[in-house]
Amino acid sequence: MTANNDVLLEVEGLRKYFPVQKGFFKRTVAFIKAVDDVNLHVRRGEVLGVVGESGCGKTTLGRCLVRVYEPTGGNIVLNTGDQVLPVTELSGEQMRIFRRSVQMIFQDPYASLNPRMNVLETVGEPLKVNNIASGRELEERVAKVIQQVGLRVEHLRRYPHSFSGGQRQRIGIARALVVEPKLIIADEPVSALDVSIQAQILNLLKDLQAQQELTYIFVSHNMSVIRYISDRIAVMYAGKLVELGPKEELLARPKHPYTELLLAAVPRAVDRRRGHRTVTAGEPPDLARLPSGCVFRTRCKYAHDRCAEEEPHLRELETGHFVSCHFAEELSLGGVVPRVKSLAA
Amino acid sequence: MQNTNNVLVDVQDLKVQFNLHEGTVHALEGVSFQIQHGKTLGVIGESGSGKSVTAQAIMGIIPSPPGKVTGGRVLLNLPENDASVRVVNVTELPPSGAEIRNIRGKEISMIFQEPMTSFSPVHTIGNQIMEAVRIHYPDVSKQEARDRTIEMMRRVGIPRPEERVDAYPFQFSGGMRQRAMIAMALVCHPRLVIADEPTTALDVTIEAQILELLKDLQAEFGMSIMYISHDLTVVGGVADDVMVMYLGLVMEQASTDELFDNPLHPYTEALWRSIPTIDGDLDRLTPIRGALPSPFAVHKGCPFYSRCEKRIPGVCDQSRPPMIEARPRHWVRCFLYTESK
Repeated sequence: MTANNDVLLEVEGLRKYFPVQKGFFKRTVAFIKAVDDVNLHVRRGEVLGVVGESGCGKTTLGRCLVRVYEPTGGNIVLNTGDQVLPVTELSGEQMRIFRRSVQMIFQDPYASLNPRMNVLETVGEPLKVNNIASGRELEERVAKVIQQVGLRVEHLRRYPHSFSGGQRQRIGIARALVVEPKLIIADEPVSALDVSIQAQILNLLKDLQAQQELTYIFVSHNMSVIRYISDRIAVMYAGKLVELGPKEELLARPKHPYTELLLAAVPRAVDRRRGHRTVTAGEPPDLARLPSGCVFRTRCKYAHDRCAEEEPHLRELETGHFVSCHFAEELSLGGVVPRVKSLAA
Repeated sequence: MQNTNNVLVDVQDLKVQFNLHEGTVHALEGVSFQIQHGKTLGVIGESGSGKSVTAQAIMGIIPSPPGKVTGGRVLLNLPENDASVRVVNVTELPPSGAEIRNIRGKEISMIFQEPMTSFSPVHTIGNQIMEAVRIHYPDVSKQEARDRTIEMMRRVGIPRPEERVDAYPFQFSGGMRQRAMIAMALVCHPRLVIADEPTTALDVTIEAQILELLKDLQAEFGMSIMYISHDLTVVGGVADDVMVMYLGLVMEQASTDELFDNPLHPYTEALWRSIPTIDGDLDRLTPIRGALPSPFAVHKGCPFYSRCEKRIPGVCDQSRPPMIEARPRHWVRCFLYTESK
């Protein structure tokens, strides 16, 4: 793999299949290909947004990357700067380094915090279990990180129930930050929050990234949020990575028909003035019974015979812009046209 | 506030409170608005704004106890066959009496957020849709009710409805279940459909399908829609008029174009600056400071005072601002505009 020091994480041919079992003997009758042959890399200090609909594999991808799930196949390599870790086959000592280097932020701040642990215990736990700090030092580090996320030292002895949703998400972020990781995987971190609170958390994540040279993989179904936070965007559909490119490029000139469909579906306040929108019918396919060839062809208005016969592979169409579509060169797809002036000027 | 002819729903100074162990929640503190025949009113609000309680009050399904309507009226102007108009005050009707039960499901129906939990798992989709026809039109034969159900399922875009009518909810995908719920809401051709976050649980490509479907069905059947959502862009896309609610009060109300082009209330403005959009400026978002106040808090002045960037100490925290028409047909509840009137 590349020895490029700019690359923090390199993912090659990653697969995660879940068996579908039936009958008394739990015979495996099929596989759900939740993540299938995903290739991507994450550069140091960037935000990679992973976007897609439910069932597209974005959460499974994130969980494979933190080793919550054991991948079925493929390679993941983390280059911390000091060390190159083969994430899929870590030794005991390497696992300890890995756990400090990669942390996760979860969606639901109501479910992801233990109600019987106060802030100090919750945020301090990763320091304790990783033998990084204890006692006085632990408390000092927790106090420092708690202030970085916009909470106060007097909150340390309080329990989750006394915090609002936004504050709870700040606790979750503090817990991820306390071990000073290189990479943070954030899985829908603002989806459960009220709209007036979302911006606080998004800005906090942006500020922390700039101050601490963090790298994020930001998983979300919300294209507008992805657009705000990301440098590059990866679009997933039915377990496959279908397009990957720099944000402006991908939004303005999408190369995959699914990206076009996804962008067109995002609600805009001006929709009513535009009259009837043409919307594409159909739903994502059953992951246990994927169509032959291209997984998107059943909903694709540009599909040809070749799409049913041959599976497209991700290829670099322009520098840094990858797409898996046989006809990417020939299609001219519609992207996002920015409004000249914001409606609420 | 608006011209009274052509008004279907006329909510006047509605007050609802919930008496809980922890204290009293003033869920609605004097809410007034109207919905015209054939139009869509969009209701924007965050959790605790009272948007769902407003819908429950119109349906007469506020859970009681602990909920209680403590003031105001919900008037329905229901046209009769002989061109007269029957005026019904929902708040005065016993919640399980014959009259409101005759209105619910027939004149007003509701589409809920969760298509997964809103159907009974042990009855077929068809039987659940048909039930409304059988109850409200006892003269209609079983076969006729089934035919109407299949026709409505076809109309909302469920493929092969003559087979799917006998399917169970678990055999439907989320998007198809939401279509089935829309069929259930529309099968008696109601005058008003209340849609409470109907697309929040759906994927964005399915959401777009459902939003366009609702617009098409409205053009065909002419019903009014009350569309409730926390998502400004969704509401802006479907509604003719919009009202913005915050902690049990209507803060601003206008036509959709007017409200989005000239937001007046600091809360509406702040909401706009705080949400990422797909096509807006990519500048830094400006969050609304602080958090939503406790639902038990009692606000002497404006409920948005603690988070407002334009607050006037000594004024805004002393008394509740009145609703005033600051621009033609554009109402706002804010002291910033009381001077100019």
